[in-house]
Amino acid sequence: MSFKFWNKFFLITAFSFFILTAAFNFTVNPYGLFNHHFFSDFIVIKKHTVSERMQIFYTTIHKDPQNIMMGTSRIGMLSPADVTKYLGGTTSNMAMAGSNIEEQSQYLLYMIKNHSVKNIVWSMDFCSFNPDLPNDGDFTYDRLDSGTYLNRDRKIALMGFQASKNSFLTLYDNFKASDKEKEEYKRVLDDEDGEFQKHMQNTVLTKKEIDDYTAWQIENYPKKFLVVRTFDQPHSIDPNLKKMQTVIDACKKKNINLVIYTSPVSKDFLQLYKDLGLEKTFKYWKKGLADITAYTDFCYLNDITKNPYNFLDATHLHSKYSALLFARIFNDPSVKGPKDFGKYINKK
Amino acid sequence: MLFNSNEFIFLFLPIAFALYFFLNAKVSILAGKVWIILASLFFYSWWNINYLPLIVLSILVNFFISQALMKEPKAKKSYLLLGLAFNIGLLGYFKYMDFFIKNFNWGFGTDVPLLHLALPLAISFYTLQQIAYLVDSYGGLVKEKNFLDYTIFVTFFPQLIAGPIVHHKEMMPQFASLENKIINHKNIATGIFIFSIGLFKKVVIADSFAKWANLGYANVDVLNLIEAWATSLSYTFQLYFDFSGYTDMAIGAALLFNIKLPQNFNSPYKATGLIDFWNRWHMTLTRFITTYIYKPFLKSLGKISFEKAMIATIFTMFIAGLWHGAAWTFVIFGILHGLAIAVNHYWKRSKIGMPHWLAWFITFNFLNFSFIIFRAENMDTALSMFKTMFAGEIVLYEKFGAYLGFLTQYGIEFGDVFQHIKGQAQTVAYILLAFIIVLAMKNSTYFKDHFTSSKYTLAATLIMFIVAVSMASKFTEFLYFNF
Repeated sequence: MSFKFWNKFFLITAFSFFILTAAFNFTVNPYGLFNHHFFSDFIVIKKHTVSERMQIFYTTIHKDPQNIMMGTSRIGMLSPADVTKYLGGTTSNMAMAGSNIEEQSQYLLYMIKNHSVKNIVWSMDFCSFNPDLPNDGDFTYDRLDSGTYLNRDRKIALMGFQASKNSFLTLYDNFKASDKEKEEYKRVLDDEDGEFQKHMQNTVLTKKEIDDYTAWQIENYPKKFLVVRTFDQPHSIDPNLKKMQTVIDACKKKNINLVIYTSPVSKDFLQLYKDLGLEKTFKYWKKGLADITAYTDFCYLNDITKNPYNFLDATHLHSKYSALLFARIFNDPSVKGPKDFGKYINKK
Repeated sequence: MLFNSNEFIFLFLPIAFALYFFLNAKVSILAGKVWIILASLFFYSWWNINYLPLIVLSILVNFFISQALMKEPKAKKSYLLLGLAFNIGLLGYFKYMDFFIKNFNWGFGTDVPLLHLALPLAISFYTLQQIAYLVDSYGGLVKEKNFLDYTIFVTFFPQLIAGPIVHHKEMMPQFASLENKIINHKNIATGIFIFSIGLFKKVVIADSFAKWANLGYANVDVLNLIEAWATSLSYTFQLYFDFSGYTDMAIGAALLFNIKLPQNFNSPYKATGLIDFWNRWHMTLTRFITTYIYKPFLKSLGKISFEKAMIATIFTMFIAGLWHGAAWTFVIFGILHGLAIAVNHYWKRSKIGMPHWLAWFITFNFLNFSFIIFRAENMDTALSMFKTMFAGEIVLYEKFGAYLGFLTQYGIEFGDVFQHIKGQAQTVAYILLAFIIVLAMKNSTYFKDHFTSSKYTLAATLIMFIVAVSMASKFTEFLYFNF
């Protein structure tokens, strides 16, 4: 064959392949990356994701909410409906499990810059300030800064073998599922109503289960989230306090209402801080927070945190206290609960 | 813009190609040349536009010094020294200043603050090419004096970032040739073919090894003996497939424009000695350091002798090591290679025979060990890796425990062998496959030279191209971008 024919055949075949693959993956949209509703009645179930972060991020930006909840899985368990109740509008829970302050700040700064956010509820976790806590594997520092990662996400969702495989699997799941299953899935997905958290609220764990989960966390957290290399030196958290300050400054500049609180953890976990020699850093952290912003503190011994069975494990408050926690933050006396749960702290 | 990115493959390259030949055919050759310079500078600026003025300044200064040098023979030595001072100063400032300050502080107990300068992309490559042009201008060996051709010679995007290190004598006549301004379907087909081989090498092979190598070097303190070997071999193969893959893509992209870049690799892991290796590995660097460092240095030592040649070799390899980066690991890497080449020369001189397989075995293992020093962040990490490779804990597959359980009394354990590098049987298969490819197969230069427009080459190219583009879940940088 001639070189000219060889070239033409190569170009037509290769580009047809990529265009068809991209069109297929765009239509099925297995990761929910593209903001369209093609076949939305049929393609409902989307279980084959590549990254939880990616899914949370794109779900949030497509929703373009007025209120954002940010933090680790500790706020991830709480209901957006309880925030909407006080702030109005629409709320997205953008919690990133196991994230550090760097990662949370990056996502918040992106949302502040590119979306019309009015309120941010930011839950502070002592572990997130650990300078030795690495960023999650699918997060890079330039992810949101340069926009390159967004392009990479699109490329991953459109052209890769993995995306095609997940598109086929997504189609298969939806062929198999009954209408009732799809309906249920849709309801749970739509966390505006706090369906996931409602599900968690109805979750009843036995005391033994809670004890087991707590013991697991106490044993394993020092290996990752509470690994101590420099964390026992109070000033080691200064860079993370600075990162937090950049978000506070960005909110002020854009006139965004920033609500900050510290997540409650059980007494066993508070004891773990002491056992790991982190007491000084813990005190410094709370003082550091007060120096830069007013916040509501829940992370101390009180009637809720003293009882480990108010939690799902050592650190995740049971979702049934979601309403109480936000009632204390937003000064709503109508929700009843222990009086010593929640203290307003400011620099004074 | 990376060669393996969608932006490059689907936008930049087709646009640069189409407009270049359109301008050549419909407007003028001059317009085509200006276009390729602008496209190359755009390609360069994609990473960081802040370094664009630096490369432009470097081109202007070098070109005008070389012109002055050729016009004024009486002052040519002064001009040469001025040009060399400019180039070495530029490279020294951006690449080696912090290294110098660190060592100065260490040596004199001072506390001079570091400058923390980012290394301008490609500075090591374009500086070398321009030094060669200056030195040859001084020697009266330069015939091509057109500014646009000179600028294309330095900036031509396929070779700009990480070589091959081209020589003005082989490039500038190609840019000046009118024949090269017409679309050549054979070159396009060959270019696509060789580009696809390079893309496949990078994305499918090198990036797979990169996962294991990176995890291994990040967890060097906890590796077992087998993991340590898998890590070192993974990096040795990653380095070759990454850099030779990049070179193939560069050669392929250049061929689309009817430009032939020089060969940079010739199956280096088939080498049976260090002299042989450096004639097969990064061949354009070897050519440069031989012509512009080794020969002048040896000449400066007076009457040539074998011993002086060995001193010049070690010195040249020391410079080659330092050229790769401002760290003691690179210096040690260079000196070790210099010493190994000297030993190789002594051995050759002694005329003692050695079986071919043994020569290969010694050479490959030397390379694998020296690449540990090349890759490690510091000598402690390298030494830790060496220690684990020879005295680390031995862990065998859990399943073997049923038959070989008695080995536990000798300290051998059974469990997850590749736990810390997240490897599996696939790791072993990749390493074996890589050995087969580098030892038993022809290299891409051979395939390029024997390329025909058959249905087999078409099918192979389509498969490699589609698989590589589809597997590139994220665009990883090429290793030689750091040097």
